[in-house]
Amino acid sequence: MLWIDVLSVLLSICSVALTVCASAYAAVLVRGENRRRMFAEAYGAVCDCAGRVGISAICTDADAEHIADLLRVEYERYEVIATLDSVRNPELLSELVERYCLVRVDYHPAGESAASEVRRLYRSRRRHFRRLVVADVVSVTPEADADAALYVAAYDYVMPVGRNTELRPEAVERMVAEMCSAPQLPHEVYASSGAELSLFMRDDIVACGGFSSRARRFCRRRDRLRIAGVLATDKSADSGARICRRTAIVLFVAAAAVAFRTDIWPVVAVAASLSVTAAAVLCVMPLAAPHLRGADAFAYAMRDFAKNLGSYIRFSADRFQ
Amino acid sequence: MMTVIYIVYSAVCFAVAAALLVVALHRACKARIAARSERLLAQRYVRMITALLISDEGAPMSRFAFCGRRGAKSVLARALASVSRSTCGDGCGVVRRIMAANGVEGWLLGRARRSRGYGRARYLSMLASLPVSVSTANFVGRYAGSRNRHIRFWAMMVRVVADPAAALYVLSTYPHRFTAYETAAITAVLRRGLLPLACYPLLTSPSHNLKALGLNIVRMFGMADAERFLMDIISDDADRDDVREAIFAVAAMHLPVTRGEIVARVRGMSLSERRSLCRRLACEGYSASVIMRLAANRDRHYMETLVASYKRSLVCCG
Repeated sequence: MLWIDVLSVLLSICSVALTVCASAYAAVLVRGENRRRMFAEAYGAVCDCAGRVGISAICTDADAEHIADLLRVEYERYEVIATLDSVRNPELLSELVERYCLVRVDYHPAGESAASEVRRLYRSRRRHFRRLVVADVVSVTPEADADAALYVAAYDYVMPVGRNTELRPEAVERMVAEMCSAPQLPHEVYASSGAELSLFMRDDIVACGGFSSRARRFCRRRDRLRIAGVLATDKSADSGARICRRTAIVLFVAAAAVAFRTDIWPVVAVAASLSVTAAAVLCVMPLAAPHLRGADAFAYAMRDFAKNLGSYIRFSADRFQ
Repeated sequence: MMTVIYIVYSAVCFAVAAALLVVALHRACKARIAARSERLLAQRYVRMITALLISDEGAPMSRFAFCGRRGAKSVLARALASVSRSTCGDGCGVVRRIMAANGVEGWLLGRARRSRGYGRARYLSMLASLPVSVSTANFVGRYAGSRNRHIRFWAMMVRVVADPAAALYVLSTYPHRFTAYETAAITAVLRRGLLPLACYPLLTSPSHNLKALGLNIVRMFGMADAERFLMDIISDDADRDDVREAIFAVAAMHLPVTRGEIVARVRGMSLSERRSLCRRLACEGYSASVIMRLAANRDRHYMETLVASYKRSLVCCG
């Protein structure tokens, strides 16, 4: 029976470690929320930071509603570059032309890439949509489309936004405030929670051959800025409620089996640790899943915690190697 | 022995979990109830403050309705801060009397004292938006040496706002380098007309912080007559950040950028910085010939195509 004792002790240690990680996750999210509220009290200052940081949002294979969402951002030095393939999707182009009064404009690739895939470039004639640029590209892959948009971008930072990614209110302003609060402007900014949203220095991406390049980029840790909190949410993703339910059932059955074979107290201890983990995540649920309610929000928060835990383990493994 | 450890550990864990659940439930209920009522109360307070600002300043001030309620002081403080940010220094007397009648200043100080980290910085930033007394500024002086840069900055801002006559001294003796955000926050206060700072002494100051603030002011207000000072910085200053900011200020005001000093400095920049500047110049509407003069030989093709591309909004062909 020695092996089962060792197993129960190991399980207990793992569950304690999980509880500690959940507490750290909750603490980081609460700290991030305090930071967000601090910047929200003085957002007027962000307008004056605008001379420093310009952001080009890049969306590939977007629909008209998504483009409209991205154009709602009120930050001054900001543009939206949408790519589409007019051969595959002529309706979308005609819809955009009509909606935003697009006109065709000159485009000369600035020596950074052949960018032969850009057929035409359009901009809006309407004053309030001047920040919209539509690139008609010969679509190959989403990465190649993103590269075409990258070479069109006018500002120093690019922000690829997935089709199903929805920016939270004031996400761009928060990013700018965080960047301008750092002693040196960072090369890469990313959000710790929610949908994946990153901001890259344009020249870094160009130097490594664009988004489609296989050369992996390694940004120095001091040049990366991690923002604790949710800046964007994923519209289409399953909240993970089903996975959570299945995991709970599997855990319950395993616990019952172990309790039947051996002493009940190790199982109770593991269950107690898991309950603390769940309670800690429940406490920060409104911060981790602000767009959901009830069980879906809890499942989304648990999944976000698991994602953060996984990325931390991967990061530690990379450093160890 | 192990069983005892397991039992104690389980008991502690279940107790902690129960406490966390109670906290989560309490917060959820509070958020649901308070969100709507606080929004309505904030609208009501803003209307009341605006009415008092418009009416005679000498009218007697009474305590605001519902101010004794839980959370109402926070709503009132936020309403006062948002109104103060929009009044450009007018009606400071009225805001001061409202604060005195409702005990807002003492409440904010108490919250700042009890909070930690970014929470404290938040309350200090709210204090810095209000016309606070000198005694408050002296009180927050204890946070000047905080390890959190936001706390020490907003503590300094409270001192600046409380005694604008000493602003130059306080800013120049701040021992840390301002970030872009901090410079912008000071400029926002200055734009409200609360700081009696002259721009040219800032540009000639040996302090990096004052020079950065001066450059931000020049850029913000488009002070083209500060060109001489900008050229002095570009030609003589050893700090690369100051030089870069001065060149960007020149570009933002659409002044000539082909002078020898600027060209020499731009050619000394890294490729990334130079391209960033050229993109900015192209966006600002500088012509191809001007930008080409800033470029080294190997950059010329890039610059040429860049201008052709970045003027795409002007050249319609279909």
